[in-house]
Amino acid sequence: MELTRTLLVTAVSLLAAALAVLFVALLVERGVRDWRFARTRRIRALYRPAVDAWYGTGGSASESARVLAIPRRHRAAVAALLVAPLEALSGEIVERCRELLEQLGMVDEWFRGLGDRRWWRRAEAAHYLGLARVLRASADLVALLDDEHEEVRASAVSALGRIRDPSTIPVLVSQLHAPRAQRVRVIGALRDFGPAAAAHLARYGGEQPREKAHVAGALAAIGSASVIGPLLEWSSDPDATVRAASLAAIGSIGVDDRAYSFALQALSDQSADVRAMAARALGRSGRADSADHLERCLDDEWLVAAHAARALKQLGPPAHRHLERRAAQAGQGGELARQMLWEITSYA
Amino acid sequence: MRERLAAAVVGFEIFVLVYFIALNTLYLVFCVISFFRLREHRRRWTSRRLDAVLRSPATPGISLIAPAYNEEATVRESVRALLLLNYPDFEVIVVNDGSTDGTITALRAEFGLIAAPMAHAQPLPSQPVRVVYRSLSYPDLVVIDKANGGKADAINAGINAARHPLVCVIDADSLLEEHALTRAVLPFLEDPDTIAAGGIVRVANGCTVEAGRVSDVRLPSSLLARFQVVEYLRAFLAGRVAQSALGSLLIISGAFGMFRRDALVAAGGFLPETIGEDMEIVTRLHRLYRERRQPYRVVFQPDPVCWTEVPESRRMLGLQRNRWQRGTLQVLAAHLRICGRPRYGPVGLLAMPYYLVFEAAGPAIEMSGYLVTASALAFGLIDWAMAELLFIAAVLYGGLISLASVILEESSFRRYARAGDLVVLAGLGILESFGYRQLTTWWRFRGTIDFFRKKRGWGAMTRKGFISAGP
Repeated sequence: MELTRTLLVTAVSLLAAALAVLFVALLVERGVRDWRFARTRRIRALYRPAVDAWYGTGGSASESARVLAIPRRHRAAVAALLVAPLEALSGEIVERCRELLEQLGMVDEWFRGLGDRRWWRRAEAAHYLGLARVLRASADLVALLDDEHEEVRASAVSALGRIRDPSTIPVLVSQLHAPRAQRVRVIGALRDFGPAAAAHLARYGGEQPREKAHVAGALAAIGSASVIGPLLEWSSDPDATVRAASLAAIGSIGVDDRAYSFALQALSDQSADVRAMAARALGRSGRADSADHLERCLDDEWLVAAHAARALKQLGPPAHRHLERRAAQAGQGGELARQMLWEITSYA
Repeated sequence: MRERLAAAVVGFEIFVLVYFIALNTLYLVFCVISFFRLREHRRRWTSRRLDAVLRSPATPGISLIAPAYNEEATVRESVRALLLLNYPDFEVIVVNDGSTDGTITALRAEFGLIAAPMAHAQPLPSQPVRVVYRSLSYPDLVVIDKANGGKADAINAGINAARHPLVCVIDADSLLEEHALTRAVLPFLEDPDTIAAGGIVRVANGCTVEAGRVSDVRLPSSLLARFQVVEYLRAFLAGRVAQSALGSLLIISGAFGMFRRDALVAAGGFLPETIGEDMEIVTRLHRLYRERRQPYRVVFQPDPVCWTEVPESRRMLGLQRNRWQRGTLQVLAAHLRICGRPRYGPVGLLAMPYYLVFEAAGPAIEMSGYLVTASALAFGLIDWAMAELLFIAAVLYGGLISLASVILEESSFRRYARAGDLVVLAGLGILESFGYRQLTTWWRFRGTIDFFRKKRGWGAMTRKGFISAGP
């Protein structure tokens, strides 16, 4: 009994001490954070006019000199102010800003940051190098795609998209389905490259048949007419997923005469997904002569019928007549037709 | 005889003590795990990285489903706030679950709703849909007016109408943060195997609400609500973050949860007959994917995404806790066979045993602990000084966990800007052992009894309303 009591008294004392320590830690943490926050805000307020003036004069020599005169210990904060607008800027001002950042020594600092042991420093360095479009960072950023931390890899991907070094497109394309890469970020980066990336992607899909469906999905997001040819080829692939993804991509990019006939043919595909994507593509073709075929699809599986109904709505007044005819009937086709007609009249 | 009785009482007291130490130690471990997870999370998703996600053409669309039942007073402001969320592609589906007040009239007047033909697929069963409304001013608003069938049934009707691959289920009176959808979608972008993600629900009582958004975070004036602030911090920041890290998250709050629509359809949607439908659907998703041997992830996104009003009266709080306990027991009973089975991974080996031992049996063990201790003291079977020491240890250990949760909040999201609020929260962690904890235990115990008496139903809840910033 006495032992239990002693143990309990010890436990109570330890708990009380732990509580007191944690409580003090809580208050100290709050104090330190408040102080650091106030300091950062003060420094930013101090130098923001200089940065605004620099951008206001298009990066004039006199304003650059003013920025370069800022004490070394505050340069990181100033660099953060300088790169923030680069998110939405392009052209000569970006080059000037990069030169200024080079002179401030920040670019070298970020290069060093790429090798920092703390992942968030590496991610931040990659982010800044991307914003400043530092072309010579491409190789280091490509190396960072194998970083152990996911966010660093993702930052490197986004940075490469901003820098737009054509030599890095194949690496980015190969990242598209790397299990360790964030697809959303890779597609975002590839889109920054425009048609050049689309051609690489199409070639990659041709070389990696198992990746065709995913590549077609990416092409739909990036969108470039130059890849319609390979997509049409893939729309006859033995794999229904590839056929559906290809037709979806064609629908997103744009339907020319050749694609139109492929899509019409695909309306009789065995797979409902393929038929649905074919109907979707036809809706975006602007060719009202497909309306007869689409109207027949209103009795197909719901997914196909829904896409066909929407396509008829998109094809304009000649196709709307088909909807009007079906709207008088009962069943799925009639219901969808009525919905589309309602949308046409309500949202016209 | 007296010695035997005293020995039995001491034996029981030791059992309760071990149970209590195990529960609090487990929570302490949760706090440590959460600390590292939150630190990682805070550095991971800064606002500029969120921007990279928002710019991507591959960011998926989201259908936001808000079931509403008799929400006439608040529904206009709630829906308006939902429509103003910051996300590139989303729709708002409000499901009026057979309200008996003027909910639908209020919506029609506010958003210029007109009846639209209903032409969507119906993969999930639900009570008959009377009318589907669309708004001419807000093309991304859909209002479904259906016969009453309960919250789960209303959500199913919303899932049927959803046109995006992700659905976000919320309560109609939840207040979402402006970037709630962006933050909640992140786990789905990081890993395409993610099928469900929950977010932190915070207590909005006492906060100032402006145009459907919490603009000034303050502690509530009601003591009951203040205790719940500490409870929510402990449950979400310590409990769920750690459970998610261990792959054993069983609850995604009904106030805010994001799901892949195809996963919900494959699971058969929400079960209308359950009380704890939020826990039930997550447990069923775990089961489904484990049994199919499909890779999947159910995660908790610790960003503050949703604010809700908690009960401030003892009666309402009692009803709520009673319902939560019955819901937990109902789900555990329905899925008991996965408990302890390695096939179900951390859910079978960690989560289910945890919920059985600490959540289901907890109130009964705690209540009997109080009763036996009180009786033993009255009859002189145990020593007063010893009982006092035990109680002090319990208070301090409980307070330590609560304080650790406050520290988690302070080191991660820091939504309570006033230092005084932190001191109050830390103090409440100690104070809750003097009455509040016993009250909630009693309500949960009553919930356990009601469950075995097969009592069903939610109980009518009334809300006080948020503090508005003015006209």
